[in-house]
Amino acid sequence: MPEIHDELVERIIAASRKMKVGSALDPNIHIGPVISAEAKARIVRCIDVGVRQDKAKLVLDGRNPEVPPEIKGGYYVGPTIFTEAGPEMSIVQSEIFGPVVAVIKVENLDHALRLIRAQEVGNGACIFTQNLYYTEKFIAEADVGMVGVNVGVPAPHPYLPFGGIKQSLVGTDKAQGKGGIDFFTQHKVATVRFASPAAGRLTADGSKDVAGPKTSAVKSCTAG
Amino acid sequence: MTATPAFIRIRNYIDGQWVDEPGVRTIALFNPSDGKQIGQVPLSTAEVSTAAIASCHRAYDEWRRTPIGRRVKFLFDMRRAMEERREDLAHAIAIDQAKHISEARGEVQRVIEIIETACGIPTLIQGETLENIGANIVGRVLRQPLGVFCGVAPFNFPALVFGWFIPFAIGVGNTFVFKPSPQSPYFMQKMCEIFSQIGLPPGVINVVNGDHVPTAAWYDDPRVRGICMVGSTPTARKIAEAAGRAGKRTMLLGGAKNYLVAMEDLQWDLFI
Repeated sequence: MPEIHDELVERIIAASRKMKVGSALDPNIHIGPVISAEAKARIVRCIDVGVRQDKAKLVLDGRNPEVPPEIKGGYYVGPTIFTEAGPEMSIVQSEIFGPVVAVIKVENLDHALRLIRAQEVGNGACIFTQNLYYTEKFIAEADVGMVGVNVGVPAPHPYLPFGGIKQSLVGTDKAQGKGGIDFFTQHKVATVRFASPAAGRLTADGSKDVAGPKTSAVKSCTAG
Repeated sequence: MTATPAFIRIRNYIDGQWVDEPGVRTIALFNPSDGKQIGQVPLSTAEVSTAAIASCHRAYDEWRRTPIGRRVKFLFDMRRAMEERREDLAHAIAIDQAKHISEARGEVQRVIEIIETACGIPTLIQGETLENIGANIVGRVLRQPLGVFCGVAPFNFPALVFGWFIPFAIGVGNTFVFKPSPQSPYFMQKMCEIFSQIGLPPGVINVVNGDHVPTAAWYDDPRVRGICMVGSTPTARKIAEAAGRAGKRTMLLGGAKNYLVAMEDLQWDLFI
């Protein structure tokens, strides 16, 4: 939102600068490497495209983070922040799989919701607010599978289903919670009709033993 | 904590046994933290994948008839073993997937919570009954397992995706062939040790390593009843098409890009 945009950018830059990049097994580190040399090269290309093609403003560049010499061969990308981003940009549309954030200055909640609705994917979206109206409107209108309010990652606890909507979910069911139960089981419906053992017994010659008690006239599960 | 071997030889786990395929091609496994090779991963063939399906298919009949409380007892035991080896499992994730150890611990904790949820299966799986549909007629809805499921995980959540697929699948009575990412297969090696440790019947969970070749064997095998994947949307659509033609159900979690909206009244302490 315009009122807090500059302060927000300052704060995330300051917080990101405190994040140390290094070995995944070093307890004094906050951000480990990416998965492979190829992944690093791809993420760096995404950042290059953000600078050269998208023309977003790179306010924190994580392309060559400093790491100790003994782990120089690792695949490191540091926190990277773009501002002045727009929804048409590649850095906003593509799933970068790296520590890259693009900040878009939106005018109001409706503007933010329009951007979310325009996405082909619909995994999750979060809102940070203290306002009940914003909260309820966001939950109702953000067309994603998982919404977070004042949480950074909208992944639900395993009691509840995990999964997106739109292009983020192909197939029928979501994972975990009742979604997991639905996916991994199939329904069977049994229709059971019962009668006293004495009812409607056939006699040896095939005729009905009319002396027995009468059974229901219903011959199917149609209520009669 | 178990010491990490000098060279991690990733193996398949089929029918409760570690299995090596003679003459199989391998690819290198790297430690992304320093770029050094730390092991190798077999590129299993379709034959191995089919053997894993056959093993799951054999195990299914008895497993689905195993009383539900006994099936869930295996989940309780799996959870306890994971708690006991929590640090070992987190370490395994931090080595090849290279998620930072603090986040790797979080991922293990989340899987433990999924298993805790799946321990509620005897309640969650209950059906419904409607009496008096007609005179002396009752309708009953049962939830039953289907058979063999197969699932493939992406590199970025080697533990969580196991959690999304397997505890629920086997808890309700199915059996499962799982293929980890060839970039982060080490966590599942540790889980296979746990499957053996808790005495999980052979063939209830089989783990096959490799690239796309083992998964290609899933689509046309009539014994496979459903396919799960977490990955990209284009891959999800291809799987959905192939599985759909063969009449299999799918759980396919595709691509994502999540917006985070910061309103002007946000509470900063909650944000950063």
